[in-house]
Amino acid sequence: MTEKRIPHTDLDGLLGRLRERGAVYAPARDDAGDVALTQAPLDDPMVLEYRNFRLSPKAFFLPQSQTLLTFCDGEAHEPSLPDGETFLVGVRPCDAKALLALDKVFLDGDPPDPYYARLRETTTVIALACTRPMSSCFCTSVGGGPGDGAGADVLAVGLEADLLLRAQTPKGEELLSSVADLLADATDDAVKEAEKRVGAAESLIAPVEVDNSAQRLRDGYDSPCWETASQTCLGCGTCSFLCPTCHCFDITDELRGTRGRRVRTWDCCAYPLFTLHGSGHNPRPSPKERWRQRIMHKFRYAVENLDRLFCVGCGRCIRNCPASMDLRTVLRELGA
Amino acid sequence: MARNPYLPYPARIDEVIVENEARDIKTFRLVFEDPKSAVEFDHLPGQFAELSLPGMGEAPFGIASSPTETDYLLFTIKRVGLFTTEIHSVEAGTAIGVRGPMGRPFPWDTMAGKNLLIIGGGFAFTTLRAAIKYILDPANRSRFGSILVIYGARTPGELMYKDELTEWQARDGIDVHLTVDHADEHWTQHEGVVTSLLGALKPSADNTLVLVCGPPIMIRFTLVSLATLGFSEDAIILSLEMRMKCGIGKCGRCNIGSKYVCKDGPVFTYQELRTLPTEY
Repeated sequence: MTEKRIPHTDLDGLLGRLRERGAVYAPARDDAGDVALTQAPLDDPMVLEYRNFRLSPKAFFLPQSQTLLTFCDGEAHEPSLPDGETFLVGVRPCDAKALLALDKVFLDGDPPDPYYARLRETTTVIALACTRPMSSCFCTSVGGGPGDGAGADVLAVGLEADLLLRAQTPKGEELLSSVADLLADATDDAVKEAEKRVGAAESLIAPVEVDNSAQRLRDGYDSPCWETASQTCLGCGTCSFLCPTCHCFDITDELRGTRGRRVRTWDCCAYPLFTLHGSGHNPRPSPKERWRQRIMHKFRYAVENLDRLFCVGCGRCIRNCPASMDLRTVLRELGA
Repeated sequence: MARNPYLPYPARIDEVIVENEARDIKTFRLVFEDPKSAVEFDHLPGQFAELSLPGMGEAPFGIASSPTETDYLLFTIKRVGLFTTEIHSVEAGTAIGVRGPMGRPFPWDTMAGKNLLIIGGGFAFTTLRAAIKYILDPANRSRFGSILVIYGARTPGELMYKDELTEWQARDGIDVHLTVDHADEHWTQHEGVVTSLLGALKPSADNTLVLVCGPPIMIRFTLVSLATLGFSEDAIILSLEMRMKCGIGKCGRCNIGSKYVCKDGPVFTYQELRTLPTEY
C-alpha cells in the first residue's frame, strides 16, 4: 500500500492534474454555507473541514434519473455509456463504504448492471477521513469509522500542514503514481498525527447496538415497536433519497410522438405505491409494514442474502427526517 | 459482451385471442422480429417476462406458452391497470418489447418421475397452461407419472383456453376436471369451488407434487385441503404475484424477506414460503 503526503499548498496543483484527466468534484462551500461536492473552478481553495454533505455521492453512480433506453420510431436503442473519467475528492468514509454495498447489488448480482458498472469504472473516489462527526453519526457501530478507507480508491487524512494519502485499490495506486512528482513520502510523524486525528474523531461518535441485528430483527418481526415508531412517518422518502445505500428504483417511459426514453428513477419503499399491485392489493399497506421493510432490508435481509449491512451510519435519515424519526430508536428497542 | 439486461427483444403481436365472456382476459401471441431472439429466449414453464410498449413502460407477465411451442410466445393478460388496459387496446401487428425469460421456473427436475396434481383458479391458470403443454409434449410425457388437473372459474364463460380444455379432456395421458362457482343451464360438469372438487376427487399424495396457482382465497383453502389429503409442505409448489420492475433483483420492488420474487421466485414451495414474511 502506497502511503504519501502532499502539503495543503499543493492541493490546487493536484486537483489541476486531475482536471487534465477528467471531471473533478471537490468540496466547496455554497452560498448558504453548506459544503457540497462541486465541480469548482481551479483557483478555489479546497475546503478540508466540513460536516458531511447533505447529499450522498450515490448519484454519481446511480443517478436520480438515468436513461436506460432511447426510443426512436418504435425501436429501442441503448444509450452510449459515458467514457470520460470522474474524480470525487473529499468523499467521507461512510459514503465510500456505501459503494461496497451498492457493488453487491449492481456489480456482483447476476447479471451486473451495465450503467452502474461503467460509472463505477470511470470514477475514482478519493475519500477524506472524517474530522467532524455529528450527533447522528454511528459509523463505528456498523463496521466503519472516520478513518476507514474501504470503498475508496485513495484515503486522505488531513493533517496540520499536509494531507496523508493512502492508496486503497489498484486504481488508487495508479492515481498516486501518476502524480508522484507532487507527493512526498509519508513520515512516521505524519502517520502518527493521522492516527491521533482519526482517534479523536472516533471518540466523538456515540455507539449504537447493532451486533447480531439480523437475528434480533428476525425475533422482532412482530414487535409492537414498528407500529409505534412509524406513526409519525409522512412517507416522504427523504430517508431513502439521502441514504447512500438505498438503491430501489422505478422504470418508466417518457414519449413524445415517436421519440422518447425509458428512464430509471430513484424510488422508495416508504411510498404506498411502491408495492401496490394493479389489482389494488398492497402487500405493505401501512407505514408500519413499510418502515419495518426499510429497517429489515438494511439490517437483516441484506445481511442474509448479501452478507452485508446496508447501513453505513451516516445519519442522514436521522438528521433530515421531517418527522424526527430515528432508526436507532428501533434498533435499541429490539436490542433491549 | 453480455447483452444489456434492460434491452428488450423486439417482437410483434401477431394474434389477439379473447379468452372470456367478460372480455377482460386476452391471450397475445408474440413472434420475435429476429429468429435469433427466439433461440436466446430459452424458457421453462413457470418463468415470466417483462413486456413493454414504448411509452407505456414495462410490466411482468407469466409466460403462458411452453418452450415446445417454438414459433411463438403466449401471454394471457387480464385488464386491471394502466399497462394492461393499454395492451388490451392494441391490435395484431403491434410492435412489443420482451425482456426475459426471468425467474425460477417450476422445479422440473424434482417433478420428473412424480405424479402431478395441477390446481388452477381463474386467471392464474396461465403458467399452468404452459406446464401442461410442456408435459404433454411427446418428448416429455414419459418423464412424469399420472397428471390430474383441477381448474375452476367463477362461471363457464370465465374458463380460459376452452378449446384446449376440451381437447385435453378427450385425450389420454391427462385427467382434466373442471368446476365453476356458478353453473349455467349448459354446464354439465362439477359446480362448486375448487376445493369442493378437490375433496370429491381425493387425489393420493403418494409420490405426487402439486402445482397451485390461483387467487389468494383459493390458495388459502386449497392448502388446508391438501394438508388433509396428506400432502407435505415441500410437495406443494406455488407461484407468487408481486409488483416487479427490473426483473433482475436490483430495483427492490419485489423484495420479501431476504428473497427477490423476480430472481428467487416467482415459484416457491409452500415450505419455502412459510419462512418468508407474509408480505405478498
